[in-house]
Amino acid sequence: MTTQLRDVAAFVGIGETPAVRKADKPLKALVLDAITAALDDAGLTPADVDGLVTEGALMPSAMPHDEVAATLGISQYFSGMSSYWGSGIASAHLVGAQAIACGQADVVVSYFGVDWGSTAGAAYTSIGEENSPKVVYEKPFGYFGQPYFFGAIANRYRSTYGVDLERAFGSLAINQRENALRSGTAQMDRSMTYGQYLESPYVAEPLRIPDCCLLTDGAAAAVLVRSDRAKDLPKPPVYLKGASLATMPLSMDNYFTQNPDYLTWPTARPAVEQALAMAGRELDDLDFAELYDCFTMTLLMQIEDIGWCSKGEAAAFVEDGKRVALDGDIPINTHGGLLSHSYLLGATHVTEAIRQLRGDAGDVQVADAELGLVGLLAGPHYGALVLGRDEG
Amino acid sequence: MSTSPALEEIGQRYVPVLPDVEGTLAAGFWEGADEGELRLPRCTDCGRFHWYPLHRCPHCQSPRWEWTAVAGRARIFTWTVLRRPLHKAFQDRVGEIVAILELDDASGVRIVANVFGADDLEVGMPVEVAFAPTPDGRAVPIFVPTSGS
Repeated sequence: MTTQLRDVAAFVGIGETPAVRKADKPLKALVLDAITAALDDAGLTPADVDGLVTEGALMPSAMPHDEVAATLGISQYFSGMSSYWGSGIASAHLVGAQAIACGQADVVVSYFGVDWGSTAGAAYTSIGEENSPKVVYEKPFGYFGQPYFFGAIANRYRSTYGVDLERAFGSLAINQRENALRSGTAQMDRSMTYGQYLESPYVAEPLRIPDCCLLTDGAAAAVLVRSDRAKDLPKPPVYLKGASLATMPLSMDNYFTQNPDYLTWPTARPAVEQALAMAGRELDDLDFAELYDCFTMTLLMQIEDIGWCSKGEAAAFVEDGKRVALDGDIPINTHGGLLSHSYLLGATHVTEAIRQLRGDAGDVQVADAELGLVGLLAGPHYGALVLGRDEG
Repeated sequence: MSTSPALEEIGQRYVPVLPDVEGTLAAGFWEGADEGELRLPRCTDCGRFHWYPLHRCPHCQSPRWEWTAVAGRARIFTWTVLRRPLHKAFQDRVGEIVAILELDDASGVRIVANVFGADDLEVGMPVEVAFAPTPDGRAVPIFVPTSGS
């Protein structure tokens, strides 16, 4: 019964704080700003809200939903979350839509924020609590910080497929850099040539600085309402047509070393396939995709795993950058993504997808965008959303 | 082939990042290292290794497993090179090879370790364990190219 959520709910408001390395206010204030902006955009007030959903690892302590409710005056509300980091941002909308479908809420606000721009090392090294396996068996050997996890994947990938990874990484990084500059809202403000890419220093070989996501202070929010309520609101509704969270029997602790299918993101395809099936659409129907790009390597794998090309062929697929450009076969990360727009772990991938489907994306608008994919991951989890401009 | 630093010099590097594992699931690994053995969790019911240690064997869900010494011969599964330290403890370790290894006699598990004394790394290269002593009497498993290879 995977069709039950299609068009049940629609996004009617989005809010984002400016994309900056260091913000001039604390994280909780940023989250409240984003929520307020999203409600303003939707033409709604906190009194209309009867659902709050969020990501499940960072937000419960960084900005609990009850503090949001207490501050904004939201009473008698549904709350929920289901996964962590990127996948948790995507699956929060699955939870919100389920609540709407069950009649437990009509107006659900999702929110997410980070202050990792101000927190030294946090974005790259936040995995690993005291005495976790990552600290006890990995950190002593310098396998510490996510660039190292993905640098190791990249070397194995290059060895297995014998491809020009530098060219592929550079093409992806430059494409998103250009999108970021065109968006006019990105944190990154410097253009980059392939020569400059090659001259940039390594972080974890073969990953260089432009292969790694930015560090950002910021927050984003989106308002999802029961579809019949969307029609009376000021902004064109963007329908949630499909949503899925896929998992596998590995924990975040052991995923990066023990994944049996080491060069594949095993949960990407099942999540995307389920979300597309719910939407009643095919991969080829997508006009754009906003995909989790903590590193260029991560994006390269998803291009294969979701199915735009076969395993080992993504480097050729992205070689000149044209297929993933704004006017390409499948524009990817139209706002510049985590690499060049801001690192809100995918929260702005969702808001960007909504902007695209409203036809409101300015200089990065994909022509006649009707259907878009948001794919966000965290270790063994993958959250996928299919959003559409039209009902039906 | 480049010359590996002396084991004592290598061992000193780990002092700031060695975990305090007394009383935790991890104690068996580091106690084994202190005694010159590479030990991994092996289920006493199904006989399979797993990594990292869990409260039950993930293959057969048995609660009975024990730390089991392996010979310490391995093949390089993949690697990266430490270039930009993300923690102050690694400031003096730039250039180290950070490898993921598959052990010859513990099928199905991969461990993380540093490899010293190897140039021109490639997937599948054979390596073997050595133990680097630390100034405070502990020991850290490291890997070097297999003798004669």
